[in-house]
Amino acid sequence: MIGRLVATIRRIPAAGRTCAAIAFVNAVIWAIVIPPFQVPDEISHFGYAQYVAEHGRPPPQAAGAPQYSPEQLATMDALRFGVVVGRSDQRGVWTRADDRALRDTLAAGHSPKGEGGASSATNQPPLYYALQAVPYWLSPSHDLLTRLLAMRLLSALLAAGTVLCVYLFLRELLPGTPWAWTVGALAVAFQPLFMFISAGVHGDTLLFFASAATLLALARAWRRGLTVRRGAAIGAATAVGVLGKLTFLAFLPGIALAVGLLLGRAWQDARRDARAPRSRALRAALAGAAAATAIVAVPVGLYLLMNATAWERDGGATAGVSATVSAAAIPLTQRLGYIWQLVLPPLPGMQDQFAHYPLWETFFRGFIGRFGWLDYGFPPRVFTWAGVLFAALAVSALVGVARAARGWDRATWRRVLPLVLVFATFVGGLLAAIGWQGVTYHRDTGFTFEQGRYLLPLLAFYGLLVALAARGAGRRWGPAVGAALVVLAMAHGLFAELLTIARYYG
Amino acid sequence: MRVRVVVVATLALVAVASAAVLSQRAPRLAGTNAIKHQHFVVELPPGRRACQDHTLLVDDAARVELLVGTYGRPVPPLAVAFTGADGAPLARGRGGGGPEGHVVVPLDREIDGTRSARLCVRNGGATNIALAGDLANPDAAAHVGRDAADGAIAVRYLRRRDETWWELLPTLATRFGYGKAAVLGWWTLPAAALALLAVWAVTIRLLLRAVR
Repeated sequence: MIGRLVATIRRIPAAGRTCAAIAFVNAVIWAIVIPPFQVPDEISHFGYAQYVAEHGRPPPQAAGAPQYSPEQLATMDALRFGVVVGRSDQRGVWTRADDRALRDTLAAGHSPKGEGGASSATNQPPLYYALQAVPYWLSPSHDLLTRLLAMRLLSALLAAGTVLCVYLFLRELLPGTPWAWTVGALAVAFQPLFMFISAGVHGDTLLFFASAATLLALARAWRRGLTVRRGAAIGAATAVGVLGKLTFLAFLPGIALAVGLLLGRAWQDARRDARAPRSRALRAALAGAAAATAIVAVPVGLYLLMNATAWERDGGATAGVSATVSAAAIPLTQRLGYIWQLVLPPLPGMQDQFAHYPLWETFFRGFIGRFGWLDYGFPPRVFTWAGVLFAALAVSALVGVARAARGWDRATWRRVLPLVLVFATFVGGLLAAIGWQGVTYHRDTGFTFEQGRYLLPLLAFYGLLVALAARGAGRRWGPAVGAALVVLAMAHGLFAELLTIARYYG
Repeated sequence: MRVRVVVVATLALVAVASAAVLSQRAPRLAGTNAIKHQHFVVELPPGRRACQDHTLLVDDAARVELLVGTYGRPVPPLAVAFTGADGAPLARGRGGGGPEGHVVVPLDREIDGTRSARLCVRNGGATNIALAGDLANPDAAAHVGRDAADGAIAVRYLRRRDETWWELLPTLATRFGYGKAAVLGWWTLPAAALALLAVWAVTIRLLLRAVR
């Protein structure tokens, strides 16, 4: 088993392995830079993981029960979490006296066993939190902060896995341009918002990994055909995503469409040529689709059963999903209008949903540089420069694709266009999920739900954009432009780290 | 060759930009009294003093920054004083003038060692001012005479002089080691910087080998 794993890793190009290692060390640096619980929602994700580690089951979310263990509450208090969170003018533990008080709190023996009350994370499936129980118990010290650091290392490992998947995804899509795989993967490995979230105990890290792995598995099947093994890979990545975070449900339409198109392609091929190899390919595709479905259905079914029976989670078998997709008496036209306006201006007759332009204000600016609990970020001029650079990237990518498309025959078009449709369904599905929740949240609380980090499950497409933009500079200048883009990505990460150090320590 | 030239040129630009950012001289924070600027919590009439016990006074504090509202008028003369639990004076300062907002009052000495102190702010002008902070119960709130204000005054402490980030590095390294897992300490910031340098070196090497 281990021998096969080592052999599989060895088959990955050295550049891909190096990109993953770079991402891991980078995320570890971020994990050391960011003070405990200052990654958004880390308090909830840690609380969930601690409950799973201590009780061996997900939190019951009983009404009125405290969200966190006495140990976590005491530590948050000693860290001055309530003062620092969301307030960029405030600082946490800064002096020897503060630190001594914190150590006394950690040594005071507060119970790590919480009651599992509902938090912003407890409606999620338990896979990420069950994985986090491993570093929680392997931690050399059982004080909370050492455990938190050990758990952050697992998130860093997932970030490395995500970058590796992006590298391999680009290898499937751009097989003739190996240097572009490295450029795209490194752009992701230094993306500061991705690193910021990946530095914390945060369920999104598994979501990013599962999303990139799913896109890789689909791209592989798209290029090489659907087989049992490739279907199993699609199913495994999907199962990890579904059991990792409910947001992943947004990708199910895209995955189903991709598998359907793969089957359709195999069927058409078989119909055109009924000789044995083609029929065998169709049978393999059918078996692959069945394998994918079974690998998703069995663990997810088991989870739903456990939720409703053994774990007695509030909300029954579909705890979490029902809260997420609740219609909550908002007209469908308003929901659709809201989702539309997340990225596009309102159409005539559409009710204005935002006083700002979310694609720029929330998603782009958030992606470029809003950190912490959205309490600090780059100065406004940086977003303007970044906007110009990204517009240039988009143009270069389009020019490159258009130039390549001039040489495509009909068969190539028939392979590319459906894949673009699949990718669009992924993007549309995620936006629909964000908008569906956002409109309810906005109505109920008056606050904005959307954040830049919600687009990070699409990181593979960010890598693709950078790779295509570099390739768009042509065969002669492409590698040089790609290298320059990577150095700019490194600088982006560096300045974000300096900003973070200034925020918490300066 | 082209990749090498572009990488070196872009790295040089990044190095210049980083050096420029790290060389910026500006007021640097010594700490806060852990009270947020949420509301104007103290209304201070002319000639009166607002005092607040158990105010966290931090090491290296040499200037005090208060958020002062003046209803559109210039900030009047302000006197700030810190005294210890035994009534001994710890530091005092005078400031004011300029528009309302964040007002910096220099102290007559630099604070050595974090401690709890009594803070008093005196309005030396002829009109009311308001001081910002956070709502608090009467025990923790500031008092004007015998009357408890709505909350506690928020104080930000600044270091003696404006500094560059280079000059602040030893202090940053010390702060960096606090409030984290016990295995981390003052050495963590230099170690993180070295690790980052190593990551950059590996990335550049990869770019030169794989991107051509």
